[in-house]
Amino acid sequence: MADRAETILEVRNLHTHFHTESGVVRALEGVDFTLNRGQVLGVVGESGCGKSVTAQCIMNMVPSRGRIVDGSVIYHQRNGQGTEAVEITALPPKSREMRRIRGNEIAMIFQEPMTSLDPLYTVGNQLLEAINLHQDVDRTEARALAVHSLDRVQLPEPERVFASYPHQLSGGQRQRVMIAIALSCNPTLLIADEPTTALDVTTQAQILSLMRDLQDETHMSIIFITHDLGVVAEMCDEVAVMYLGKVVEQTDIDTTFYSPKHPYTQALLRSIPRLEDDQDRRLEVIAGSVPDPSSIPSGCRFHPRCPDFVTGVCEQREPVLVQIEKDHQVRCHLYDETASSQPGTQP
Amino acid sequence: MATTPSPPSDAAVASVGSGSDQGALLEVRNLKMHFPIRKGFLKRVVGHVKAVDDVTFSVVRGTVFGLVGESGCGKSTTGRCVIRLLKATAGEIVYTMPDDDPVHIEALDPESLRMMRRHIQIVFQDPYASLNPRLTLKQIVGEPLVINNVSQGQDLQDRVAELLRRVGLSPEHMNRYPHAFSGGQRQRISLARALALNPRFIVADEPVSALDVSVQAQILNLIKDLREEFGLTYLFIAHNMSVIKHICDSVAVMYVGQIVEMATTRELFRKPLHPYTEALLEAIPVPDPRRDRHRIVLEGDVPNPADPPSGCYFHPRCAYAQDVCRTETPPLAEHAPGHTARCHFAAELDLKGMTI
Repeated sequence: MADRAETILEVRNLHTHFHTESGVVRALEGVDFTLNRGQVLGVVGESGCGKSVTAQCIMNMVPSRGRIVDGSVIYHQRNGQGTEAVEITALPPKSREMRRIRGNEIAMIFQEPMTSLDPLYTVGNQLLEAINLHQDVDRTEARALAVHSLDRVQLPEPERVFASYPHQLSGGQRQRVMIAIALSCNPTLLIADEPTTALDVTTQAQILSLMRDLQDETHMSIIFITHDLGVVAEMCDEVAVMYLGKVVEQTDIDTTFYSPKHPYTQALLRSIPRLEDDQDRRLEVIAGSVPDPSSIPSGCRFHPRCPDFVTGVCEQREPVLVQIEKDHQVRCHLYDETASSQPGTQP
Repeated sequence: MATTPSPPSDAAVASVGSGSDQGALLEVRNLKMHFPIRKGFLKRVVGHVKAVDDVTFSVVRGTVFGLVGESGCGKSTTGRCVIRLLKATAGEIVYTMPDDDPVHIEALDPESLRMMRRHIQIVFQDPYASLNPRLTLKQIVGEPLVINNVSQGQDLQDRVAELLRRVGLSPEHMNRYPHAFSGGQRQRISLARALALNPRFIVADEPVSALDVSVQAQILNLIKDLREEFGLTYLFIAHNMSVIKHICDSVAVMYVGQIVEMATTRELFRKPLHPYTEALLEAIPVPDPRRDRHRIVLEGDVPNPADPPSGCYFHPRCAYAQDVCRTETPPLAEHAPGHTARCHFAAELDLKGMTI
């Protein structure tokens, strides 16, 4: 937990487009959120909502066809006594400064531990690569650091794992290695992109508990990207819900689950099967499916599926993100009192 | 000891569910599926992966029977053996025909097997891989009808339209290709195809695992509706305990190729008898931030089925393991009516279930 709310990362009005042969795909169309130091922010959404692209933008690693066309990502970096704001989106992706931030300040772990480790190199090799790139240490120190970081992620026999190839490890062990690599340079912000989605339930529970322990120990900030609301409830302090390239709601974890405001958040929570459910209860569903990002509905993007749809408003005007309470923002006409008089104003 | 463990072969048949008076539609007895491990130039068999090892259960007519477990536990292999996409190494799979004639699926010749497949169909996990991208919906859904000489021409068209309507798709789309449909819609297409020949039994192999949360609910409801409407019986394979809880009447939990516990869904969730079931229930992330986040986490990984541990397969990860667990394999024994568990201490342990 943060002692006082000190912002570490601000994402403002981020727009990222991909230029493909079949036209422009507007992957992000207004992503706003802030993350406080020492907090865990969950970014939730269904496939195609842009949660992974958001992570790529924060790392300044948007694939070559994509471009950040508007908005900014500002990282508040600690130096000595104060903090210094670095606008990540203004830095060239391959600049020395950006390379220093990646790894040293912000690190990332991915969904597929299978494909994000190189099968031709030992675990030790891949760990040493990260350490040598970012830290000024000699060979013996680097090796000691590497083995220590494997020990930190609770891998049994770290020396043996150090010498193993990825195929010799199980899925859960590989994800631990990924976490070890990401944490080897003590980043202040960790981005975890669906880190447990490919794992079994009992392994998922292990990895989640490990991440909680490491967070308690290091007080790092985490952006936890997932589609699983159960995982969010277990891990996060804050939640940003995304739908089709926009953040539709951001608030603290308790409000997200107990008094969500956006119709999409509400519907999402009602549609998950719960253990305490009565067997005969029908699940409430969200009508239709997520539209293709190349044919996005007019007005509010959720309006064709929204149970609280208001004709004449929702399909015509795009809602803006409204601050309805301290630390609670919603992008919906239902909560936008100014919408009728001044369409399209920023809160 | 409250109950004396009886041999697994006859004790394991759980007759549970609402329609138990109607009896079992499918009985699986001592099913084994061992895949050979071959090595060297001569491809000599050096061992076996016991993917399914002595599995016995029965599915009562009109109910949903769940198979749950982690990857590699043999749940999908069991499903595939049942409809004979894989030929089992040993064991019996007995299906009761509409005229109450039992048929041994494992012993059918190719011709009778084809006839049999009208009764039993399968829906796969990944709707992106299970639909041929070069065929239109009409060809995909109509294929079983054409192959079995059930219908053609205008009649075929009408039937396909009706099937698509049943699963909530618009018949106008029957000349489109799968790429035009989302994951949830594709899973509806798979269901329409499975229903084409009016089957009585459907094996659903992780049918909602690849879908988005909001779409998952739609498909689960559809599966429930179709069951009522067509009087279907399902073998429902899943790894998600919440989904199992929602849809199944009775459940078998599998671990390294064996059933470790079997009971009605309510009973299994309320009063698990096997430590692995308890651990599975504990591991589910609960969508409630007010719940205590710290709890017991199972250590270690699922063992390799080619080289399982001695004694009880679960003992290296089990919090309650004693010396006997390391040496002796526990039998699957009945501890309450219709509730079996493969644990030496099932009668003594007081395991934590869900309050439902």
